[in-house]
Amino acid sequence: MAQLLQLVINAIAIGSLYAVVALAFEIAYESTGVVNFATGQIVTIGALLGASAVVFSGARFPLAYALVFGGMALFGLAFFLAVHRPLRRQPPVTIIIGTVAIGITIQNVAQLVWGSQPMSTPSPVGRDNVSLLGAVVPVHALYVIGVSAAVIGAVYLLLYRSALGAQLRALAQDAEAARLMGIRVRRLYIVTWVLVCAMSGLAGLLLGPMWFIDVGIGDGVGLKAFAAAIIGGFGSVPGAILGGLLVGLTEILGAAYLSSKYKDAIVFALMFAFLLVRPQGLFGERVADRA
Amino acid sequence: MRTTRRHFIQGASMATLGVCTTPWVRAADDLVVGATVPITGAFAAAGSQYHNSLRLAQEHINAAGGIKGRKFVIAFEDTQASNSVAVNAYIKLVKQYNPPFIFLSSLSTQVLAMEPEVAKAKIPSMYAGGAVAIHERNNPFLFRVRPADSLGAGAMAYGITDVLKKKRPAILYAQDDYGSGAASALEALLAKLGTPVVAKEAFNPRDNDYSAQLLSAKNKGADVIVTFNYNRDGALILKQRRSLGIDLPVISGPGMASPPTLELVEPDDLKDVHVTADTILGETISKDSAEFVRRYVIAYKLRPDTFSAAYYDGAMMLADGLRKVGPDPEKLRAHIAAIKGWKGVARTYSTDAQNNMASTVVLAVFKPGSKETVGVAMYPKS
Repeated sequence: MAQLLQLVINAIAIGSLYAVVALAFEIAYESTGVVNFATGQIVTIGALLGASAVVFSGARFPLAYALVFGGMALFGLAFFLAVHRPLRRQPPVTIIIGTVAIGITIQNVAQLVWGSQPMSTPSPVGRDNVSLLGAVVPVHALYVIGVSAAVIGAVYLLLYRSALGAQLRALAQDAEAARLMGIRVRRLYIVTWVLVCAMSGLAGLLLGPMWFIDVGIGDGVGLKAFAAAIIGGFGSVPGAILGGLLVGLTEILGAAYLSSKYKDAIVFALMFAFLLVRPQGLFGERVADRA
Repeated sequence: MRTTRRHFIQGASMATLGVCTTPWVRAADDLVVGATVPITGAFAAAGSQYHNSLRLAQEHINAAGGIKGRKFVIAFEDTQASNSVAVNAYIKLVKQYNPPFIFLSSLSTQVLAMEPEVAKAKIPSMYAGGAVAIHERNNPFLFRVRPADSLGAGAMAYGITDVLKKKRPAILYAQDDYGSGAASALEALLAKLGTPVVAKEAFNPRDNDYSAQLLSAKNKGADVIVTFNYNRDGALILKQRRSLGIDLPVISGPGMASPPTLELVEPDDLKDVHVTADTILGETISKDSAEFVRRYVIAYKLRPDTFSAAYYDGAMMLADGLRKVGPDPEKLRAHIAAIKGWKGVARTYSTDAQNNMASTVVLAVFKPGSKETVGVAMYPKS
């Protein structure tokens, strides 16, 4: 029982991060129409910036976090200028391949800047463990769950309880109509990419103390967050949360009780099952063309 | 013709491309050998160790007069984390330089991929991969400068049954030629010794979470965990073992004591961690070994690992051979095959019938609260 609890808490911690990244995927897609396959590499940039910021700030975490968010906001602006604008009028296939290429470029540039050696970063809550009903749980795992929940809650409030959120949703519905209604579409695109990069960067920041940071840290996270978005249903905040948690639980419990060899295959098999049986995901709206 | 901005940019781009793709100009008299090393990608941390030591050996060989007055040059090609890239890197070296000798990557899976090309090119090569499957190919041009995994497996079995006196081992292994081969070899050996493995859990070398494998081993009643891993995943396994409160002792391969791994862990992660080290570099081996460590640290600001020492020794043995028999690949192969009692910075080398040049392994344990190892036993027992 204690082992199961340990696994579940661990899975929820990882699943929460998948949920944050899945939400970033969805916000980008809903607002800009771009399925951003460079999301994993943006997570990597967040993690690497986090490692550098912790060293630069002398492990003063509020300063380190502020530096990372500032850096990721600038990265979001650069992403808008260098990726979104040139690609915005291209066909979907070009955009998909474009973001894959951008992801590879980001990774290669990151390797030139940070090198290939993995790095270890401390957590703001230290390396201690706590005992919960006989299960030993790292405090950082609880911290990850708490911060992810707070961020997802804040994003929900931003999207559904603020004027900016209403504008973003209007943009998602119809960019041209939003422009005619006086919404400054270009500014909203910038806000979207800043938000997406800040969320992805936060995921990288939280991953650092759990794993080790290197230029490949975001690759698997990006793919699993995409699976989470598919399972939860694109365009739904609860879907991203549930999708992320389901992927985390499937991955960890699948490895523990089914096969550690095929843990990734189990996750993607689940995603394929959803694509076949319920392509709109758990919370997505069913879309059909009129005959 | 009027030069427009576009023409200028096109011209500059082509010129830059040309400079970047032109092979480094070498003097015609240089004696060039090749080396395929994972310089970038997932195994770059491990590769950088012997990339460094081979460059250090090149410097030392040339400082000592080169090869009969000729400058000794190692041409490097990056294998990344890919077998196909490794094979292409090998072919490129052969086509471009037709070298008398090529160092191969330390990754068994890449060595196995390159082996048919080695047989075709008939160029002697040294490698550090431990997989038994490599020497089972009986390729006379391949020489292993580190102990084979079968030796490491023997040392681990000896450590489990005779040193730690454990009865219920669990194995966590990287799912590739190295990890799977070593895990199966150890499992068979332990079964023969009447100590069956109670859990055998695989992971991908790029995995980030090992909680399922660690907890499964604990849940199945293991009293010791054996790991076959690379630097990064080994460090992560130790870190997660501590964070999950699992206090089972660990026995691992030499990678666990390598500097890139130790950079990533804290001393408390290393509690009850034993390693089968190729050797323990420094004064305990010889003054030359300590000097190698000192010069490596000065040059690269990092302690050398046993792989780097093995490749350094390989380069020195090669230089010795080139001075004695010249750059004829067949004569060089025969020379290396006949090496007996050659003293290097890592150990004394003697080539056996299967072209394995290292025949002993040290079982060591980390001192409590430290990242330093101390030898516990030598395997095979002398």
